[in-house]
Amino acid sequence: MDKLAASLKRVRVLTRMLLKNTPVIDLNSPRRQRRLASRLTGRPGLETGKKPNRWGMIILYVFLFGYLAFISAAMGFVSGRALSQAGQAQLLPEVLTTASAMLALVFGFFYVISVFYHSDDLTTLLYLPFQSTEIMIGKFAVTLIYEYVMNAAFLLPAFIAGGIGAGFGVHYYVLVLLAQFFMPVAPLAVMTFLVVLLMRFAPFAKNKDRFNTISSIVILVLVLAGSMFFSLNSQNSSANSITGGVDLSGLANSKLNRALYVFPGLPLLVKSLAETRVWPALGYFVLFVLLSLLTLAAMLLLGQGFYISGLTAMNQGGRRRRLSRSHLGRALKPRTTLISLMGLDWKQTVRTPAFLMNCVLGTLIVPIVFLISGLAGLVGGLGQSFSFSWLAQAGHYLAQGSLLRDGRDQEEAFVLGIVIIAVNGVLAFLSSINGMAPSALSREGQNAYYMKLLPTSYNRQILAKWINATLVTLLPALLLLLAAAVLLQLPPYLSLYGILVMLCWSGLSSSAGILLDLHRPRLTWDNETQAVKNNLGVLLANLLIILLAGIGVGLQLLLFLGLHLPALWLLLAGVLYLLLANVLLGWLLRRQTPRLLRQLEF
Amino acid sequence: MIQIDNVSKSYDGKTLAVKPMQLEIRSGEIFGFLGPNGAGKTTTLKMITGILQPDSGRILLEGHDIVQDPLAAKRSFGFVPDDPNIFLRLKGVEYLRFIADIYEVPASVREDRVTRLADTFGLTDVLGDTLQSYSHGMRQKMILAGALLHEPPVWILDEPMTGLDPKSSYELKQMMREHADHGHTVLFSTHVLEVAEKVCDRVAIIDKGSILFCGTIAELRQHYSENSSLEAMFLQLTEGFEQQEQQQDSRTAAAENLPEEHKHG
Repeated sequence: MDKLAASLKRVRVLTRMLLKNTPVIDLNSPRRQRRLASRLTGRPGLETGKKPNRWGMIILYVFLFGYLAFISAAMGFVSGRALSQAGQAQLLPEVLTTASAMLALVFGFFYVISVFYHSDDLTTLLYLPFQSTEIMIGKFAVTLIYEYVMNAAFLLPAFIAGGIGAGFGVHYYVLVLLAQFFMPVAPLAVMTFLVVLLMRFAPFAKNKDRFNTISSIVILVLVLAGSMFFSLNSQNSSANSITGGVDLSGLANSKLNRALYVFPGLPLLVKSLAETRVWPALGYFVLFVLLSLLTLAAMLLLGQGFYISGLTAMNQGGRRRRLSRSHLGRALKPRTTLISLMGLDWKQTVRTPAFLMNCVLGTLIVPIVFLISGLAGLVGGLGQSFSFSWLAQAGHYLAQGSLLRDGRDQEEAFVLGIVIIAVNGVLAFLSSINGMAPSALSREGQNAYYMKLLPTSYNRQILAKWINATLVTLLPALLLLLAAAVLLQLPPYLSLYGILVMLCWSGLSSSAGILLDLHRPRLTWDNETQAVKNNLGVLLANLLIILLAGIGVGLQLLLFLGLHLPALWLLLAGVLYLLLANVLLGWLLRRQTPRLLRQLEF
Repeated sequence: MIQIDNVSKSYDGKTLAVKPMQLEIRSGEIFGFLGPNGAGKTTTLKMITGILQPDSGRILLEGHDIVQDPLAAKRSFGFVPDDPNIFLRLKGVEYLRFIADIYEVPASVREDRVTRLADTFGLTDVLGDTLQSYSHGMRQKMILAGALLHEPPVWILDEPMTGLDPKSSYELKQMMREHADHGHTVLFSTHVLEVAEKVCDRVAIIDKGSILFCGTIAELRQHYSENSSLEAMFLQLTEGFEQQEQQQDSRTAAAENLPEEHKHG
C-alpha cells in the first residue's frame, strides 16, 4: 500500500513537472519568461524587444476561448432544438460523443507524439528514478489535460446548450459535467497504445521537424478541404436545413457512429445521457467509467514495454552519409554574398516547421482560400452555376472598355475603371498576408547576434530577407493573376498593370513588415512558434498596408468617380503612387536598418 | 594585433560589466583571458567582435576600428562563441559554404581547406548531416572549422575547449601555437587553468569587469609564491579582490548611512 502511495506521489510530481515544462497556455509574464529563458540558455536576460504583457495574454485567451465556446454552444443549441422538434433528441448525445471520440483520436495522435516522443525532458526522465509505468501515466495525464482544455472549448458548450435546446432533465447536465473527465480516456488510451506500438517497430515520427511539417500540412489541407466543402455546400443548402448545412440525423445514423463501439464504454455513455430515467442513466454511467478505466489500465500494461524500448531506439544515432569528393565540390561552389544570405534565410525558414507553416505556407495558401471563398460567393450571389465560358464572356466584356473614355460615356469603360481599382485593392490585400517580413529578425531569436559578426553590411543582410519575403508574397498573387489572365482573357495592358501593382505591393509589404520587426523584434522565445505568433508584427504590418491601400484606392476612386477621368489615369496614378510609396519606405528601411541593428544587444 | 583602449561597458546604464580597460594583444602571441563566471570575459570578447558596442573607448583589430570600420575589422578575425547552437538546421557543408561565400574564400582553395579542417576535427563523415543531429562537441568543432575557414590573422575563441574530445583539443592547441608562430594573434577565454598554463604566452585575469593581472605566467609567479599552482594564484587573486570590493562596499554603505553633517565634516 505504501509502495502504491509513493508511486502515486511520484506520478503527481512528474505530471506537475511535465505540465510546467510544456504548459497548455503560457501565461508567464515577460520578465519571468526572460528569466526562464536566461536560466535555460545561461545568457543574461537582456531586453531585446517589447513583449505582450501577462494581462494582455489572459484577455486574448479568454476572448478566443469565449469565441469558440460561443460558436459551439450556438451550434449545439440549434441542433438540440431541431432534433427535439424532429423527435430525435436522443441522437444529440450520440453525435456529440462521436465527435468527442473523433477529436480525442485525431488530436490525441498529435498530442501523444508531441508529449511522449518530442518533448525535451526525455533524456532527463530516462535516468531519473521513475518506473516506466509512472512515466507513461505522467505523460498520459498531460495529454489528457490537453484534451480537457480542448473539450471545454469545443464540446462542453455544445453538450450543455444542446441539452437546453433538446429540453433534457437535470441529471443530463450533471452526467455531462462528470463525463468530461472520462470521455476522452478510452479513445486517448487506444490511440496512445497504437502510437507506442507503431513507434517501437516503425519510428515514423523520429524526425521531429519532418513529422511536424507533414502533420501541419495534413491539418492545413484538411482545414482547406473542410472550408471548400462548407463553402460549396452552403451555396446549395436550403434555408430549412436544421443545422445550416449539416444534417445531424444523417450523421448519427451513418457508419460514423459505429466507431463508438471501437472504444469500450462510449456506447454506455450515450445510453446514459439519452436515458430519461435517473437510476438507469446513473448505472450506465458507472459502467462507462469502469470500462474507460479498464481500457486505460490495459493500455498501460501492454504499452509500457514498447514505450521505453521505442524511446531508446529513437534516441540512438542515425546513419551518417559521407559526401563524395564530387558532391563536396558541387556543394561548395561559390555564390555571391547576397545569394548566400538569401539561401541561409530561406533554408532556416523552410526547415523550421513553425516558420514554414506561418511564414511560407500561410502566405501561399491564404490567398487561394480567399479566392475559392470569393468565387463561391460570387457564383452563388449571381445564382449561376460556374463555367469557364462565363469567365471568358466577362473578359470579353472588359476588353471592350476604352482606356481613354470617361466612365459616364461608356458602360464598359465604367466597369473597366472599377476593375482597375478593384485589382489594386485585392492585390494590396493579398500582399498584406506576408508572414515572412514581420518576423524577418524575430525568427533569428538569440542567434541574431551572428548578423553583427558577418563582414557584410546590415543593409545587404536585410535586403536578402526582403527579397525572400517579397518573392513568397509575390508567388501566389502572380499565379492568381496568371489564372485570371488566362481564364478571363484579360487585355495585355491589364495583365501588365496587375503584375506591376503586385510587385509594388509585395515590396511595400516586405518593407513595412521588416521595418516593424526591426523596431520591435521578439528575440527571446522558448519555441519557434512564439517568434512568429506572439508578436503583433503581422497584424501591424497588415494594418499599415491596408492604410496605404486605402489611400491608393481612395485616390483612384477620386480620380474616377469624383473627377471623371478616363481609366488610363487610374492605371498611371495607381502605379505612380505605389512606386513613390516603395521608394519612400525603401529609403526609410535603408536608413533605419544599420542604426536599429547596431542598437541590438545580446 | 588587438588594441583595447579605455573600453568600458554597462548594462541598462547602471551595471558596469566591464570597467575602463586597457589591453594590447600582440601579433605572434597566444593570449588567455581567465576569470570566474560573470567576470566580464564574454562581454569583452563580444565588444571586440562587434556584437556589443562599448560605452567608451575604442577597439582596433589589425589596425581597423570595430566601430568605425566594422567590415574590415570583421574580416580580420574568426570568432567561436561559447554557445555553438547556431544554424542548427543547416547541413555541415551548407554552413561551411555560407561562411566561405560571406568571407569570399576563393573557389580554388575552398575544397582543400574544407577537407583539411574536416579531417583535422573528425567532421568528414558528418558534413552531409544537419548540425541539429551533431553532439555538442561536434557542433563546437564545426563552428571552429567555420571560424578558421577564411584563415583570419586574428582568432577569438570563447571557451573553445568546452566539449572537445582530447584529440580535437590537442589539435586545436597545436593549431593555435602554429598560428601564433606565424606572427598572428590568438585570444581565447577559458576556465581551464591548465590549458592557459600550457598554451598561453600571456594571460589576463579578469573579475567583476576589471583586469586584476596581465602578464606571463612567470610574472604571475613572481607576485605570488614561486611554487604555487596557477589555480592557487588565481583563487588568491580573485578572492582577494572580492574581499577588497566587499570592504569598499561596506565603507561606502557606512558613509551613506552617516548623518549629513558627518559626511561633509
